[in-house]
Amino acid sequence: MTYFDPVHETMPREELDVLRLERLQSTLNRAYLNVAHYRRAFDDVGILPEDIMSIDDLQSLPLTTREDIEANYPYDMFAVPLREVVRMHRPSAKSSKPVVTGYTRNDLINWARLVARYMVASGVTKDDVVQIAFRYGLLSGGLGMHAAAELIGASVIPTGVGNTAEQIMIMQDYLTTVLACTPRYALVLMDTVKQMHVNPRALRLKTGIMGGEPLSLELRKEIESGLGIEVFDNYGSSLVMGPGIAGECQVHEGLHVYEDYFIAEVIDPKSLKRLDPGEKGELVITTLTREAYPLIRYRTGDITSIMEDSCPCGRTHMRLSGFYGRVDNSFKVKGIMVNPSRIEQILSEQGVDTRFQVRVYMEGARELSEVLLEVKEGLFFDEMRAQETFIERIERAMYAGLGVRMKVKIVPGAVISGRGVVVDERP
Amino acid sequence: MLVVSNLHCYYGRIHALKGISLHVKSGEIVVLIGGNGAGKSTALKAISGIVQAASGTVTFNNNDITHISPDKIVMAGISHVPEGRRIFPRLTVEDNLLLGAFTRRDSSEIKKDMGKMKELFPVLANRSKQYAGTLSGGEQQMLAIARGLMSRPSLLLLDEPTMGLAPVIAQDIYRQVIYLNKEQGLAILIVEQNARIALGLAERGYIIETGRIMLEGNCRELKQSNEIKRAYLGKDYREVWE
Repeated sequence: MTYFDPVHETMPREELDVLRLERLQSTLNRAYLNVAHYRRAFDDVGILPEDIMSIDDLQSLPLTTREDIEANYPYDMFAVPLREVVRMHRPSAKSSKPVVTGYTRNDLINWARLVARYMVASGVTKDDVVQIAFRYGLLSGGLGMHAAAELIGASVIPTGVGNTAEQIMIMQDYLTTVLACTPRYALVLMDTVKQMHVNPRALRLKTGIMGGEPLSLELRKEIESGLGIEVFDNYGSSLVMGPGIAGECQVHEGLHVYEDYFIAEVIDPKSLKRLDPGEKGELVITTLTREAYPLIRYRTGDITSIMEDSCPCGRTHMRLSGFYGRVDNSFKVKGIMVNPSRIEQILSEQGVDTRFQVRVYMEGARELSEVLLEVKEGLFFDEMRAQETFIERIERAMYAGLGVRMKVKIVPGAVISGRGVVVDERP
Repeated sequence: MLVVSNLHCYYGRIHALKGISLHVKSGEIVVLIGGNGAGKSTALKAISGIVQAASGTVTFNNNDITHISPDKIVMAGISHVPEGRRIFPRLTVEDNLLLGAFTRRDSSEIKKDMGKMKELFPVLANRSKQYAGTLSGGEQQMLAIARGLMSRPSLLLLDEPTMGLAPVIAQDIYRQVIYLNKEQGLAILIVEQNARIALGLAERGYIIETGRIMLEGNCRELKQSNEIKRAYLGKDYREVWE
């Protein structure tokens, strides 16, 4: 068994809990002192940081929601002055309001170390050639993976997403051994490999480090057999940090939450009560070392469950069983998170108040999505031209508001009845 | 080895420690950094039983020592070298050392340890019959540490050991501290105002501010932190980003 940080990854539970409590308390102290939102939130329930005397006491603190974050945009959730911040990322917008997260130098160092834990657990070494086909830029996936792969000493190829044919050429020529991307992009790559008549067995690929969206067992099997690789899943949240919050080990039974850096709880999204291990609910995260952007009981919106039993890999950190979509029906298309309530908002801004349904599907290896609007009075056009103009206008508004292109169609009500707001037909 | 959890202490009417938690593992050097009145010294005094804890616990090797008398804590293996030396000026160097062994009854071993102290701090050997009050500041500090070691502790608490000393002498003292840790496996909890020195010395540290721990981490990381600069500069370093 190899670990990037054996001392902390296999730390006896008792010691780990001492460390976690200390870090939690200092995080609460800093948040209370430096972030007006947390001070107000604590004061509202009449709790001082020192009232939290155990990890369990954390439950008495209020949850932090996406709305709280949006209301404090841009910098009011930061716990350090801006000159201490050395990086910023913007998670994809879930409403019309944007959010931003920041990192101090230490935050970046810790982030790279955490992703490195996951990569080393996936068998990545300095002898590997790692092709990073995650989005670079405002989203945290690309740079987060990049820093860790460099820290391990692997040879890193920062291809980013897209230019798929070129990616495959690079994969062949540069002898890529590790592919880092979202599962869906792996499907696109597989498809292109086929079209280019490249034999996947002739590639040097052996490992896929994946994340950014739920990885079902079928999807994993398909990628593993299609590219001849072993896939390791990891969980990230752009606002909390990026990739590397939890990652699989070689046992492939759940993702270890790096508990010396995060406290993970699973709650019932309706009653907001904490759920027992094994019960599926919304993941809530508290950061333990973040300096620039501490988050206390942040509702991630991701659905998972906790596994408390020990793992044969020797890591003492608890696991999450996997991810099963979003509490709010959000979904990802081409790596970009789309929230149905945001679509509703865009439609209403355009004066459309009809029922709608989003359909996401594959055409070959291409992910496509469309918004189906129920036809009704006011959405009925005698003239073809008028309808086309209307549809173009809505499509433009969708692209501007969501960052991803969606086709718009007007359909009879029966077409969209009884299938929910989001219909995901992807494998 | 040492685990402090949720410790509250009052210094007169002042709420000096507001629920601090920290730990020191065997063989580790840990530093507690903070400005004047942050609660650093109170924390050490609470661990060694000189100040009573209002609530919270101190455990040492899994034994609860929160409300145990200071001499029993010394016997358990914790030795406290207080701020400002506090040697007995009217006693000789040797007698000061002997006082450090007040909890022990094994006179032949005590004699051996006296010899060891003189090896460790050669200046003390030359001055063993001299009144401690005639020693220089640096020598007095060495004597205070040596006296602390005479109880054969496994954890040494050092309160500002280089305060008021010339940098060269401070370096000398810290060289001995590192030696004790590396060669003899002594765990050390140091309280320091001088963040730069302290962070160079220890592996891990805590930043304490007005009775609360604001940051925990390894020293390489702490060096870069804003809180450190604040504590180091000893004033309110907060600024806003207009």
